[in-house]
Amino acid sequence: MDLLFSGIELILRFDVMLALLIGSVGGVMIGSIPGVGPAVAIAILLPATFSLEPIVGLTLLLGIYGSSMYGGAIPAILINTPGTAANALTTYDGYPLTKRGEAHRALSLAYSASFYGGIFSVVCLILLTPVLAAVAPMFGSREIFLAALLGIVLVITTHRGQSTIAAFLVCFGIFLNTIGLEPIRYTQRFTFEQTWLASGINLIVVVLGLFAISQAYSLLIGKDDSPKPPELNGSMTSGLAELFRHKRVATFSSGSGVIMGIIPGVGEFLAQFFSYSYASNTSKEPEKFGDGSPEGLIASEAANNAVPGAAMIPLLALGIPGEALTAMMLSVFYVHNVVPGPQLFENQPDFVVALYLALLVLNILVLIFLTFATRGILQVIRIPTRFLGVIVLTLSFVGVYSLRNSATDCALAAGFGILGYILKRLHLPAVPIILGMVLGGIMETRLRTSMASVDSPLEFINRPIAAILFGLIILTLALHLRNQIRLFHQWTAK
Amino acid sequence: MSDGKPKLELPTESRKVGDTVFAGICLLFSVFLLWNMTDQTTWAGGNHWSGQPAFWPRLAVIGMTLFSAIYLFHSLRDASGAERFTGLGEEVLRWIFSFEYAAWFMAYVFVTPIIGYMAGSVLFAVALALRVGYRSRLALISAASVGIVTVLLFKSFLQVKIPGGAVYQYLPEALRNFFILYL
Repeated sequence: MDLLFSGIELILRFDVMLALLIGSVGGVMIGSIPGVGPAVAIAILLPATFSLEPIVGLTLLLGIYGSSMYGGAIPAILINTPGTAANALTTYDGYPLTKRGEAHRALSLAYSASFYGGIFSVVCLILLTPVLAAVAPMFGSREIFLAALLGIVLVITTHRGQSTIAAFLVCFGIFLNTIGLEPIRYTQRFTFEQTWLASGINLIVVVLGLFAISQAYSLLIGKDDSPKPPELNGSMTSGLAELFRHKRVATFSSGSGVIMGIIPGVGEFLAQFFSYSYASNTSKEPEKFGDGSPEGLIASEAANNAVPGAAMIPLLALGIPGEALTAMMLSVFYVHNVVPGPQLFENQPDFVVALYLALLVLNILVLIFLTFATRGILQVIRIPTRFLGVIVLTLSFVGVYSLRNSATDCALAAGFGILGYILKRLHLPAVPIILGMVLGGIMETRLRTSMASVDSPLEFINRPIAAILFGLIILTLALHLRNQIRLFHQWTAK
Repeated sequence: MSDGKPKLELPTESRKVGDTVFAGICLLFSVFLLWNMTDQTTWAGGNHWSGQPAFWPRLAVIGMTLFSAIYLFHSLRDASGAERFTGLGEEVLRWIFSFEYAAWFMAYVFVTPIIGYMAGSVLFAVALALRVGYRSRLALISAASVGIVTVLLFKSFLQVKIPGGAVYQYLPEALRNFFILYL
């Protein structure tokens, strides 16, 4: 109970509440603009949060992360264009409802389902805390190495149809992380005798290039467009009652979002996919799916909004980010010397509780904000796309330049922007590069430490959690290999 | 779901125009790194393999080479000759267009330490808005506002580290300090 009170005390500070409010409202606005998304906003704001206290900086970013998917549902429903990638399936049933003149019902349902998913994941997070606090200390170096390796394997294998290029990009990320002066023996690695490479390549420079600057190029080069959402008439609160008529779908979808969120490298899309499939297969009206089914809309929104809370679990308990946004948050922890992992639960439990409460409060703030401000947000959606490109590129400068006032960092970010743009054009993922950089660094340190205390490779997996993680890695690889062999046979049969 | 409705399916392997070119670039880059691998990393004698400074970069480069080769093979296998080149020139041209905006960004980077963050941001936003086709007074005022608001939010309010412009030294002392700190 004392812990809860100290968490409440921490979050009730004026600067923390202000950061949460700005993050939540800003996240909704950013999420509602197709082509911007939370990754761009977090990447730009990241350096600015370094001068803030960790709890303030993290609640700001957490606010954006947790609320952007609420906002992303608005263009998905009104103009058939998802605001964030995680709202893709929302278009299936949201837009048909808009075409039938029921846009307000669709939006209200989406908000209610998102709220349900968000709160569900926070409750799971709170209920899992004692378990995490008990299990986290059982994670030594070798377990953390294996968990990071599992994250890498999952990032590759879950990019179905793109696993080869995902593997290449993960290796590229690991390679980027190794460039520069190595910290143990002080040898140079791939610096080509260039002084600007000796200090390595900063993760934030890569993140800003791949997510923010590439998006700016994409908006500036693409066709100029100014979406025109329909007028909204009707109540924004009717969805709550309708949601409770479909609470089975909402609960399953939220649970699916929590599970997918916990597993590193899986993320919102698979959570939505499984929830939507479940809702469609178990519905009494399956024919309505894809044609304005409230269950479809609930499945999609409850699942995607349950992910952010759950994604904090591996980040806080093990220091392992599951996707690009939590990887960015990890850098805020590191900058402030707050090391997420088993010790965080022991040394700063009030900090962890405050983050949980921040997630809880942001869901409430966002629901209230959206109930009254949706009509105003429609103005934001109307911003022409090329003008958005101008805004994003102007903001990207502050993100990169404020890091070290380095023109080299800016040139690197502009270069990674070109790479990110090409990846976007080819529909290839950029996230494996970021996870390769972050998890590669973790794996290098943890392998070195853990191998020093084992005599044989078998000893590496002789502890229960290490053995389970190793088993999961082997199982994932075996399933993936089986799939690849099947695809190869299909190809040779052609 | 009936026909005409969106179909729910996990993404399958689909190749875009330019995929083969990108795969080729990845392989060339990886081979270049592989070629330089022994010169650019050190295998220290007496150390366990897991503590070798060269272990992770070498593993990464070998992985990059292997996977980019497989990726190129898949890409060549999946597209027939004619398909591979249809629209390729247009696609590569789009990639090259992104270099222009990278140059714009770098111009912003080089101009800011000279004329200052506020003037640099306003100039950049307005010039870029003109470049992408906005000519109306409203659009240009909006672009200038983007520059002003960005500076006020990040430098004046959040106090991010962006040094003052070289031209600020010609300002009277009282104004100079204000400009260096807030604009």
